[in-house]
Amino acid sequence: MKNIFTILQKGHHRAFETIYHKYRTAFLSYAKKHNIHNDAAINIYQNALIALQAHALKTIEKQPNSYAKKYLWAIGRQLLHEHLTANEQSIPLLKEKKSDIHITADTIFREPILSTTQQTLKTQVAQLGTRCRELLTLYYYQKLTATEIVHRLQHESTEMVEQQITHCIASLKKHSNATL
Amino acid sequence: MEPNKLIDKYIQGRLTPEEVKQFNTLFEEDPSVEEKIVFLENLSIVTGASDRQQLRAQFSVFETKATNTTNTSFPTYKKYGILISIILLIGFGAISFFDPFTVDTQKLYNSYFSPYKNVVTPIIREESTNKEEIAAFKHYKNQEYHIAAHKFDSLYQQTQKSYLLLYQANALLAVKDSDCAIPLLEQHITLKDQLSDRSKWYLALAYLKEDRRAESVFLLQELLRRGTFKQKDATTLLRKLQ
Repeated sequence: MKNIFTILQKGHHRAFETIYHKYRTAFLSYAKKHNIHNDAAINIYQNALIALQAHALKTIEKQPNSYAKKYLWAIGRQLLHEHLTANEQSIPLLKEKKSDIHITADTIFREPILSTTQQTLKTQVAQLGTRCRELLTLYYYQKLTATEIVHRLQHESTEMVEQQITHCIASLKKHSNATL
Repeated sequence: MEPNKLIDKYIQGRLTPEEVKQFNTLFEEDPSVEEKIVFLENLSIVTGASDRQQLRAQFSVFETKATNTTNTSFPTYKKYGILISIILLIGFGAISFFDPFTVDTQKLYNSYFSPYKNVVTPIIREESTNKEEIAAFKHYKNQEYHIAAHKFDSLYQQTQKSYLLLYQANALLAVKDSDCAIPLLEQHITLKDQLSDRSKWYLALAYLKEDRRAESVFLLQELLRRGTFKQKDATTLLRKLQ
């Protein structure tokens, strides 16, 4: 199997189905041992996966094959710990091995609260065509280059991708000026 | 390098040391650069938020699959029975693939879809009901679906009332935008409110429109198991699909 973290670094969602099922049972059993309700554990597991994706998109360096699993467990442990603390349950020892990645509360990804301007922009992006939304996400959020987008979407050329992105930004700006 | 390209490379964190110098000069000389950067940084944040929203919707589908697999612990003979059924289904599937009278999912979608009625803001409205929400439902009722979808989206961002996702998705389906409606319905189902079974029906239809039959069949079966909404329609539609 290919290095999962490398696939996540390129923003592919397809890697998630494999990861989701691969570690789910072990994670839920681990949470159960610490008396965490199944629904809460699923929620924490999904948040940990989201944080893993955000971390992968920010990481430029290559990582070894085992990295995605180790990082996921490290976030999971931290989130479980936070859940237990928030619910004022007695905090059991969420043990770390020496080889584990150490994560603290302030280094973990949290979903940002959008400002009014950002919420308006989000609505405007949602009104663009599917292709524009996809291109803008790949280029500005997943930070792929035009060449990488050509490979991903099987476009004809980088020039074509760049032209389309310019066109999408222009429509977005036109729309936002009309709203203001 | 062209200024916009330089700004894009800055946003992507890909400037070379030489380009950093060019960028700094541009930033100092052109006052509009800062505004452009703020816009693109916001764009990066909101596309990220939507991307993760989509990912969460996918997680809920994975979770349903995982739960069903865990709950379905059959004895061996039943497993063989299922295997035979699958082989037969594939066989019939192959026959229907070559059959000129095969099921047209678009036609089926068109004959079954009608936007879900407003059950949220009744005719005699309570004073506490948000005026903007009433206005959004008014657009919905008057079949001004583009405006209604836009308003439901803004309202959801402000209030996080889960049922708004169902109505936004319905408005989008009414203007044939199943692509945008699907993640909203998937998200609504995960929130498990009183109307989430309604979303299962509309998601089954949206999948049908996208020719994702297997997922549509799965949801219709789930709907029939729960026995709460559109039982007759779900039964006939499922029969046609199978």
